[in-house]
Amino acid sequence: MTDDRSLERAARSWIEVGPTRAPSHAVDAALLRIESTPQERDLRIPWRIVMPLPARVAAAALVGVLLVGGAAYLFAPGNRSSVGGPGPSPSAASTPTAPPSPEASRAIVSDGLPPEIRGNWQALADHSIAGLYDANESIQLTVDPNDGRHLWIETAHGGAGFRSAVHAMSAGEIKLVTPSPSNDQGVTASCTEGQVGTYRWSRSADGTSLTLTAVDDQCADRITTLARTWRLAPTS
Amino acid sequence: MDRDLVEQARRGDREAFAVLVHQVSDSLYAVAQRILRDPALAEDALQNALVLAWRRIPHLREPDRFEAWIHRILVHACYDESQRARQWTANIRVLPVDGPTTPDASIVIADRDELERAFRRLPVDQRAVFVLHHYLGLPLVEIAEMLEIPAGTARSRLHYATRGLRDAFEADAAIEAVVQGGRPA
Repeated sequence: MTDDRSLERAARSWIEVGPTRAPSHAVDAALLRIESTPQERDLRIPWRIVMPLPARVAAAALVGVLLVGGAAYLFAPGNRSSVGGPGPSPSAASTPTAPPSPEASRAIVSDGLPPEIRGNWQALADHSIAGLYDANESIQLTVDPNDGRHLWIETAHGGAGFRSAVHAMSAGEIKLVTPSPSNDQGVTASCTEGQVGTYRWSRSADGTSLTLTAVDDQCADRITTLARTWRLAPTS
Repeated sequence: MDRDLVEQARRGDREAFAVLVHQVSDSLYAVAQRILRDPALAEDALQNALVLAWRRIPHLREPDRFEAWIHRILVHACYDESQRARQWTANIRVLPVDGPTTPDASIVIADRDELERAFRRLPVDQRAVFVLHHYLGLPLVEIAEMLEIPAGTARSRLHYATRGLRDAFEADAAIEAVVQGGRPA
C-alpha cells in the first residue's frame, strides 16, 4: 500500500475513524473556567468614526477651542512656572485633592502580600496542567509565610509550579512576575521568565477563603490555576 | 453560525458564548483528537482553546469567520499540547511478531496500525493541515487563511505529511521484511 493514491485513500478512511462528539465533562469544565475568566479588552480604535458632517464640524471646532484655550492657560504669565517644573506650593487649604489617576492606583505599593493572606490555601483542580496535576486533584497555593514575596502551587504528589514573585498593588490587586526557572525553590510550569500577571484578591469576612480574580496574565495556565476561590488549609 | 450570538459574546455575554461552545465543541474535539491522537490531550486542547477564545473574542473583527477563527485557536492549542506531551512520550515501536493469518481483515488492521504509527511521527503542524484537509475537507486555500499561513506553506505541509506517511510505510515494510526473513521457520 505504498502508491500515493491507495495511501491517500487509506489515510482518508482511517482519519474518519474516531470520536465525533466532545465529552460533556470537558465542555462543562471549559465553561466553568470561563465563568472566572475575564475577556481581554478591545482597545483598537476604528479606522473611521462615522459622524454626520455638522457633527464633525462641531467636534473639530470644539477640539480647536480646547487646544487654543489650553495653550492660552499654560502660557499665561501667572501659570508659566507650571511648565517645565513645579511652581510655588500653594497653601494646603486652597489645594483641592485630586483623585488618584487609574495608573497611579495600579502602582506597586510594596513587595509581598499582607500577613493576613500569607500561608497555605487549598482547592480542588477542575482541569489538568500537563506534568503538574490532574483534574480533581487537590492543589495548594502557598504564599510565602515569611514575607509574602513569593507564591507557588504545590500538588499532593510533591510537584510544584507557577512560582511567582508577588508585588502588592493598591486597590486589592497583586502583580505576579515569573522568575528565572533556575530558581530551585519551585518550577515555573508553563510560564516563561518575566511573564506578568495582575490579579485582584479578596478574603471572606471569616478569613477562611481567598478569591483570586485575574485582571490579565501573559501566562494563560497561571490564570486557569490561580483564578479561583481557595480555602484556608487546616493547620497541622 | 449565529452572527448575533457572536456579537453578544464579543460584548461579554457568557450565555451566548456557551451556546456557541455547544455548537462548535464536537467539531473542535474531533479535530483535536485526530491531530493529537490522544483523548486526554485533545480534551486539554479543547478546554484551553475555548477559554482562550472567550478571552480573545472581543478582538474578533469578522463575526462571520467565527468558526474558522476558533479552529485556528484550537490548532494552536494542539501545538501547545503536543509540545508539552513530547517530553513525557516515549517513541515506542511495535515490531510484528507473526505474519497475518487472515489476510483481508488483518491487512486493514495492520494498515491502520501503520498509519497510526506513521502519523504520530509527523510534525504536528503537518498533522494539522492533513486533518483539516482530509477530515474537515477544507481546500488548501481555506486552510491557509484559517491558519494565517501562506497557501504555499499549507500545500508543502500536506505534501510532506503525505510523503512522511509513505516513507514510514516503506520503512515499516522493509523492517518487517528483515524481521520475517530472519525468523527461523
